Amino acid sequence: MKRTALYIALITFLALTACRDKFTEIFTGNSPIYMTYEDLRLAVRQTTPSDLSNPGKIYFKDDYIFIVEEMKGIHVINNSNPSNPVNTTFIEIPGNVDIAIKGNILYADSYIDVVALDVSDLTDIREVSRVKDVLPYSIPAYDENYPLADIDEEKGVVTGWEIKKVTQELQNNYYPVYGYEDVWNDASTRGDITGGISGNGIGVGGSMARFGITENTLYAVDKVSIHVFSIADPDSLVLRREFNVGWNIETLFILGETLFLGSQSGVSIYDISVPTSPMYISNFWHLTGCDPVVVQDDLAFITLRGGNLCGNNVNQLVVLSVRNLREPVELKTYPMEGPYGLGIDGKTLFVCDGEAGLKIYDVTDPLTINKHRIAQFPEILAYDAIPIDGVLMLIGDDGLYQYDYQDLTNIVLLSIIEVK
Amino acid sequence: MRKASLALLFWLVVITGSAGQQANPTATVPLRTFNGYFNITDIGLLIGSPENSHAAPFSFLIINGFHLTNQFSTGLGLGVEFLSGSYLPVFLDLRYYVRNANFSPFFFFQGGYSVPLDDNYSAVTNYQYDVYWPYTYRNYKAMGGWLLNPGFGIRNMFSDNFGLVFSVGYRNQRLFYRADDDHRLLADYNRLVLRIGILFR
Repeated sequence: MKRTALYIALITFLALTACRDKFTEIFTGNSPIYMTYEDLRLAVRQTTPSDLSNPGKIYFKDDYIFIVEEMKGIHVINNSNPSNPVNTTFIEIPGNVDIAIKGNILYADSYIDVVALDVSDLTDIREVSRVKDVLPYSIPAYDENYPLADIDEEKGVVTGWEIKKVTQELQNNYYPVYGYEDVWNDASTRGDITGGISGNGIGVGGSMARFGITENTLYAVDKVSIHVFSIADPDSLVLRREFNVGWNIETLFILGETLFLGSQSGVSIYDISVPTSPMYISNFWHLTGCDPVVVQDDLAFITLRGGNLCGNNVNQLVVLSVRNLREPVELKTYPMEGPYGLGIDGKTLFVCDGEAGLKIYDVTDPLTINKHRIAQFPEILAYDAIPIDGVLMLIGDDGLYQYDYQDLTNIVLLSIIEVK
Repeated sequence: MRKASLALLFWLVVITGSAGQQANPTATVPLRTFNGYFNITDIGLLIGSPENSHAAPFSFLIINGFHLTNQFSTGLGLGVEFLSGSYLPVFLDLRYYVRNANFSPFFFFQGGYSVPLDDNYSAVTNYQYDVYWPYTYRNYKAMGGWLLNPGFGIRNMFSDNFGLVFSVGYRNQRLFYRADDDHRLLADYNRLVLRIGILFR
C-alpha cells in the first residue's frame, strides 16, 4: 500500500516537472541567414567602388562624402569638385549603419561590434581596433509581408533573410531592427572641421546620427543606452562606460559641451564637460514621433514625423530655446507635411519635408519661421541633408544629389550619384 | 487540482483495500467468466507541468466495448476534455487483463482523434520585432488532432456487474490549428493521466 502510494507520488512528481506542453508554429516567413562571429570579425575589407543600392546615412569630412550602404558598408566619394564627385572606393563593413570620423580614423558599427579604421590612405584602408559585443544584437530589415522566424544568436549575426517554410517552437523575442527609423533620417549640422582625413578634425554627421565625437571621446547610442569610448589613442578604441539613457533613443547631437539625445518622446540634455562622464541636465517632452534634431546657438530645431512606426500622426517643426539647458522652453511649433531630416547653416534651415519636398527657411526670428520661407522645391525629395559652404548634399531613395545654394531662391543642381 | 488528485488517491486506496480484503492465495482462478458487453465511465486529470497554461485539465470518458476473451477486450470511447479548448475524443480502446479474476491489473492502449467543440483558439505569436507592440494575436481555427494513450491500471469487481477501475497512463495529444493565412500551429501535450471509473457489465 505504502509502496503503491510512493509510486503514484513519484510518477506525479515526474509528470509535474517534465510534462511541458510544446507549441510549434509552421508558416512561410523570413528565415535568417547567418554570418558567424568569426567571419564577422574578418569581414571588414576595402573593395572597388560600387553603385549605390540602399543608401543610408551620410557623413562629410573634408572633401569626402561617406555614404552608408545600409548594413553593407561605406561608399567613399571624393567630393573635391561637387560638380563631379568621384566614387572612389567601398569599405565592406557588415551590419554598418552609423559612422563618425576623427582625424584619420573612421569609427563604424558592425552589428554588435564597433570598429576603428585607418582611412589616411584611401588605397589601403585597414582595421586598427575593434570593441567586440558592445552594441545590442540587431537584425536587418525584412519583408514585412512575412513573419520572422526565430533567431539563434549562437549562430552569429543575421545578414539577410530567405523566404521559406519555417517550423519552430512558438516563443517571443525582441530585437531592434536596423532599416526603419534609420534609413529615413539623417540631416545635417555643422561640425568643427579643422583638417582632412589625414588631419585631426571631426567630420559632420546628420541630425539622426547615433555616433558622435567630442575631443577624445566617441559616443554611440542604441535604443536605450549610451556607450562611451575613449579614442585618445587612434589605434586603440576602448569602452569606458555605458549606461541607460531612456527609451527609444533615436539620435545623438553634440554642441560644444552639451549632448542632446533625441528619443521618440523627447529630447534629453547632458553635460559632457567631462566627456567620459555625461551628466544629465534636463529633458523636454514632446508628442511621440520620429524626431531628428539640430541645435544652433541657443535654439534647437526638431522635426516630428508621425505615422506607422513613429507613433502619433503629428508632423511638425518644433523650435526649442535651450538657452537655459536646465529648462528648455518650446518657443513655437509649425505644421509640416511629413518631415524627415533637417540641417542648418547659420540662419538658414533646410527641412526635408516628405512629399512637400525641400523647404528652406530663414530662422533669424524663431517665432515667425513660417513667414520667412525662402523657397520650397517640391521636386526635391530627400531624407538626409548636409549643407556646407554653399553646397547642399541630399540623399534620398534615388541617390545623392548636390546643390549649390549660395542663391537660396535659385538652388542649382551640381551633380547626381544615382542609386542603381 | 490538488483536491482532485487526493480524491483519485482515495479511490485507489478503496480499490486496493477492498482487493486486499478479498485476497485469498488458495482461491482457484478463474473466479468469473469475463465476456460480452461492458461499459466503463470514468473521470480523470491530464496532469502536466504547472508551467503549462492548462496544468491539469479535466477529462470525462465513456467506453463501450466487449470482451474478445476473458482477458482481452476492445471498445469504442467518447468523452469530453478541456485542453486549450473543449474536445470530443473518439478512440479505440484495447485492454489486456493480467489475471482472469475480480481483482486484476491490466494494460490498455487508446488511440483516436480529438474533435474540436470550440471554433477558435488564440495564441500570441511573433510578427514584427520593432514596433510598439511586437506581438500579434492570431486567431486559429481548431482542427483537432490525434491522441495516443497507453497505460496500466487495476480492476476490482465487487459483483458480477459492477466494479471500479483505476488507471495511470501517458497521453500524447497533438492538436492542429489553422489561421486564415498559411500559418499553422501544432500543440503537443504530454501528460500523465490519472483516472478513476466504474465498470458495468
